[in-house]
Amino acid sequence: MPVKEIFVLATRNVYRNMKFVILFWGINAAGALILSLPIYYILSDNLNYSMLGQKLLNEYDFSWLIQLKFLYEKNIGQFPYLLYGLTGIYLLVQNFLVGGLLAVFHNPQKNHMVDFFYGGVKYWLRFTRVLLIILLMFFLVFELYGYLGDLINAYYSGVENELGDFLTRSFRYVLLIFFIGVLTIISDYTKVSLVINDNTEVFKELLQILKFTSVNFYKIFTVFFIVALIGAAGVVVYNLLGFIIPSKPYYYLILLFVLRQMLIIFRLLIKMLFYSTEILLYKDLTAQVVKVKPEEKEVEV
Amino acid sequence: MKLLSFIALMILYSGISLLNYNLTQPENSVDIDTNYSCGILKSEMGKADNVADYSFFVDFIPSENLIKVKENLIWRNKTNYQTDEIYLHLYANAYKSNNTIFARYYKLSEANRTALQINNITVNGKTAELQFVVKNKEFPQDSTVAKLQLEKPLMENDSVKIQINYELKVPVSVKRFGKAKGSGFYFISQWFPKAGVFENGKWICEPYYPYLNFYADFGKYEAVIAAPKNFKVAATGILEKVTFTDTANVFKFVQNGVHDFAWVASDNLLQRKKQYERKDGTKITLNFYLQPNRLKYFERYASAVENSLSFFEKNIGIYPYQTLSLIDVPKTSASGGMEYPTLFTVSAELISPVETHQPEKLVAHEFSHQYFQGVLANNEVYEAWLDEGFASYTASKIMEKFYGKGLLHFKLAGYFPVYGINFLSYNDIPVIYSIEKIPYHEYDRSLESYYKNLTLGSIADTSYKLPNRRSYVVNAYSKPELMLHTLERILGEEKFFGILQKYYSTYKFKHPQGSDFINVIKNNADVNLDWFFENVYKKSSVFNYKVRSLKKLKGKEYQLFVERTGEGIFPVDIFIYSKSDTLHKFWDGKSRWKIFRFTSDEKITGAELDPFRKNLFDLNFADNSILTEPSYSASLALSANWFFWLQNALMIFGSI
Ligand SMILES: [Zn+2]
Repeated sequence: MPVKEIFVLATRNVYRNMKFVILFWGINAAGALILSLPIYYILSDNLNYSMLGQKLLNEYDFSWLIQLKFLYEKNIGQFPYLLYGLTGIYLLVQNFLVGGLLAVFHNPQKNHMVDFFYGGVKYWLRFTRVLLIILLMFFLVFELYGYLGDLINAYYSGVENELGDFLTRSFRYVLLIFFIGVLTIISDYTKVSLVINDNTEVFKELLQILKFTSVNFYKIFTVFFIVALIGAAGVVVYNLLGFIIPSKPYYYLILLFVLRQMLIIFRLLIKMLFYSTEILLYKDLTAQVVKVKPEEKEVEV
Repeated sequence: MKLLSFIALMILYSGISLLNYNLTQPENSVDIDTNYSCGILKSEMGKADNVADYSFFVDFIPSENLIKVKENLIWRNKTNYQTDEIYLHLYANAYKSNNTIFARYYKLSEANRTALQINNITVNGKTAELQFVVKNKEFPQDSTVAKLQLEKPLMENDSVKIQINYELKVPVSVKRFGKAKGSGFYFISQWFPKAGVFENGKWICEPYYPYLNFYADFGKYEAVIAAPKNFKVAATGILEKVTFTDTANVFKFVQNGVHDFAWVASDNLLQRKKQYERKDGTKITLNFYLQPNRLKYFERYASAVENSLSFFEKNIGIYPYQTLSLIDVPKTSASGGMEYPTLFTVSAELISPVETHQPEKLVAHEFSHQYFQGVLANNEVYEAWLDEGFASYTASKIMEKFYGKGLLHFKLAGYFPVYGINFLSYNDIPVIYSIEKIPYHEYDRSLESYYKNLTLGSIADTSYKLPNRRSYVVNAYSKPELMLHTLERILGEEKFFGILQKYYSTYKFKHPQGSDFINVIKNNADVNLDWFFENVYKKSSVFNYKVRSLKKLKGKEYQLFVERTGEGIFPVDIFIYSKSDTLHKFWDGKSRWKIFRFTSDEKITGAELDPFRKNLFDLNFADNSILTEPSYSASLALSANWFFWLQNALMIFGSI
């Protein structure tokens, strides 16, 4: 299937199932809300009855921010744990949603909420296993990334080459992003293949996908890259709009809030587009193999 | 997405750097100006008491990383006490081993080590012997202080001539002194045996403490430095003469009215010159010695120096010397951000837009030391705040006046500045961040630092005795800077600058102490400030004033309940607001709380303590005011931002 056709079909698929984005958005917003509550309480405690609140709406006061950081040092110190803990739960819930989404994308005729939830339940355990394996791989990638950082520090501390240092450090980011991309692709396609082949052997499927992605790397990466570019274009548009919206007076903040939620929803749709293209591409690229099999079977019969 | 533009910028940037043009260096030109004598304005001559005059003959042998020095020191007893000893600082011995006081903070590898190899020493022509003095019993192996026993005591106005021949290996620089790793850049400071200060019948000659600075008497310095032809040499003072031999260039530097001498030699250093013209038409020669890859910063360095000079000459007093040299040092030289008479070191980041305020603020700070440390030569080992606190304060003022507010930023890939705040990052990856242009006050960094150490030590404490580096930094830099800003706010800028002028003109070329400065304030301020110095300078009082409540009683009567929750006392203005009017009250702030009753025809909307934020030490600015009706918009708006940043963070994590 040509790439263009994949996109046409994938976009159509996403469009038909747009309603599910609400679930993803809801989970994202709920997670962020839970994490925002402590901050909100701190802020209301400090600002609701203070004239400083009014001033802050009109101008920044970094002195106050430093002060707040100092006054709530302990609470702020605990925040990363809260964030990482909640992220864990978030990932598990999201696994459920992705299961439902892939089930619906795989079988576009059955795209009711019930089908979605059925898929979510059905694939949750398998996807969670994939998640664990992928997390382990992420861990290794980040270890390597950290080690690379140490190497760069050690090397450039004794060499007068800031540009080299900078470029090496930037390359380290690029490398990391590349690996994150690769791991994401592997994770996505493993989930896709688990759904399409209705297989329960997660590890076997993952190995299969490693082979599959390396064989079809060029096409897979091209599609991945194009979707990422569309996502990037959206962010650029958001930034342009964000730039135009004045930040004062404060009621424009409502407009900004809406725009930001639109961005989040857009990015979630992009994530859906990733899955949608991946399902199509996977089906397309494995089709030849599938076609051959029945013929062989017929001969046997 | 952001990454893509970032990569594109990177490529563009590297292209620009490659194009970086290569300009030829100007010839070594000597500094001649008849308004000066030995590098000091004739009108300022004689104001400095020459206690210690030095002359050096230096053979710089980079192939061996070695300097061979003949030092002549003439020391005069300008006190009415007698002494039969001369104390000498042997700062270079701080790099001798890991058992020195200095090495507490800087672990010295073999390459970082050195020590003075003294071949012979004479006092008035007779061979003498140095005795090491252990000042700190915990460090018996520290040999940075020594003394010479004299045959007969020196009475008032007697002098002694000391000659020392020594060799010193130039180590790989770990801090302040040495050869920059991986380059031919040599920064030579703390390199010669240097007389301590004899005052009140006692020798003040402390060992070399890590991160602390120095103390010495004024004098005339002359140095003849022979360096291989491919080396450029810069130093304290004016370049009086250059002679050329077959193998070396010989530079002669001279400077009168200073108390230290540092020099630089490098095989890869660009030089630029500028002239600064004072109001009276006299000129200062500005020398810029730059790393070739930082030539792009020349104009910015130059305008930062010019702005600093004009700030000081306008508000504080005259810069008395003929030259001023800015040395842009390589990063590996570990000698950046230090001050020496007529010379200071700075460095700049690879990418540093002017809104980040670097390197301008560093230049302004180091320049400020020409006054606070250079001309007002306080004892930096005892009262570091008198130079570091003042330099921090004036640097902030210079930045405010010439550059406006800086923008908060964080760095990507160690170098690429992004405007905004990075709240949470993992291994150089921003996790929760906000990208926007947020201006900050110059003193905000000091505020941040102060909060990390509210009460350990006070400004009045002897600097070298402070228990750790954090306490030193806060009590030498951050708190004094905040103290000076707060004083300025209490007295008003004009008045405060007037006092600084007075302080400068009274104590220039002298050794002022903290009490001297405080006395100048007390004698020139129209208000009593004893409470201020008691709380802020002597003690480490913590301040917080808050409004507890603002209530309507019967009819037109209202009640304002204010509280002092910190032990620090600071008189406060109080503003009480109604729709169209502001009622002014004053509270001496002494009692733990106070209740004000007042009447108002109009509905009262709020009240505010210290409305002009004079007291930068107040620990909570938010509780300084109260509203009668709550307003949720600020907390909601700020939480909404936070909410969005978290949505993004979750989305990134969730893409696994
Ligand atoms: Zn300083």
